[in-house]
Amino acid sequence: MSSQSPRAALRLVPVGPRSDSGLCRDFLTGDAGAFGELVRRHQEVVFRLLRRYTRTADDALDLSQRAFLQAFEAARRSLPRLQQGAVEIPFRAWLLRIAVNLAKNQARDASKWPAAPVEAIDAEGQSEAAPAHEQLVRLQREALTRQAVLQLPRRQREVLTLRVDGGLSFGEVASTLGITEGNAKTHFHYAVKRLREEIRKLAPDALEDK
Amino acid sequence: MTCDELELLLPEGADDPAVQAHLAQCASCLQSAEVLAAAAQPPLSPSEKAKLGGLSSAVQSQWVRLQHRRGRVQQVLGLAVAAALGAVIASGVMWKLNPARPAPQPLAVEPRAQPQVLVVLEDASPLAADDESSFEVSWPSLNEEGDVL
Repeated sequence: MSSQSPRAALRLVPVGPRSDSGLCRDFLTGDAGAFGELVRRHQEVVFRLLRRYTRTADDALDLSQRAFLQAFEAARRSLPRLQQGAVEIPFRAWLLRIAVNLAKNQARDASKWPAAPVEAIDAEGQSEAAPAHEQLVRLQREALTRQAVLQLPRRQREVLTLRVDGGLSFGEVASTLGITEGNAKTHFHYAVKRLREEIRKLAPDALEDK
Repeated sequence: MTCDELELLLPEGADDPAVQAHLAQCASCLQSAEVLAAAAQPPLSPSEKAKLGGLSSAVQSQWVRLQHRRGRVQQVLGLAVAAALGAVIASGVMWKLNPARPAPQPLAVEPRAQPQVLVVLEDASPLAADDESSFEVSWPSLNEEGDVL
């Protein structure tokens, strides 16, 4: 026989996933589980964003760690507002913005070094037997394309990687970068156009034989 | 669907039937779709997934370490501020308790040292320093020839 009041029973009804703001508030007030949930929720998109700019997965992991720490620090500074309850903090946008900035710094630093990020990643990911000729050609084209992505103007590169690597909508891209949605779409259009031109220059037969 | 509209659906909407139908007829859009597909990164490898699995605990331990360091820095800063305040208050109290202190004297200007003057000894009698001559002159019992009177 249950003696629960209807009010208590209501509290047991499963609800949807907690918002980022709620998780931030819970974590900053001592709930360690909320921390892990926040990290797990966003770790893959952050890692994929940063992996493009780093030579190894470990480097991408280090940068991801820094991105999370900086985002949590920003959330900690907003704790008084969070505790009032009425304010939602854009944790995901902050996190991705920090990741984009870290990626930008990494791209700047990498220009001083003979880095080959794409090849390093491919070598890690392709552990099977020697691929066939077609697969080699495809891999080469992909490597050239990813190299061309890194040569794009900064804003175009940011929009394209947030869209392609992060799978963000144009609205999310805009809020992450602090630009309008129309502006994000324009940058994406020019990024695609420029990529096609670059690929045509780097590998003339890559797009002609289709 | 226009080419511009289709481009905005790429790359994640490439499997949509309407997009596929457009791509089958438009070579330019097909090239854009291929470029975007090639620009995408390969899926995470098992080793990357395994490393990513440890990210949460790594971030958490780093966060705890940073917060401890922040706490220590704040503690040291607090102590330093308290010590400085204590010193200011103590000096104020000391000043209040001992108000009748003499007014500070202006610094006396020392006269410049005069150059040393050498003592001229020419005026002194040469006999004054010669004990034997003086003895002979002043001895009362001798005459001028030195005979004993």
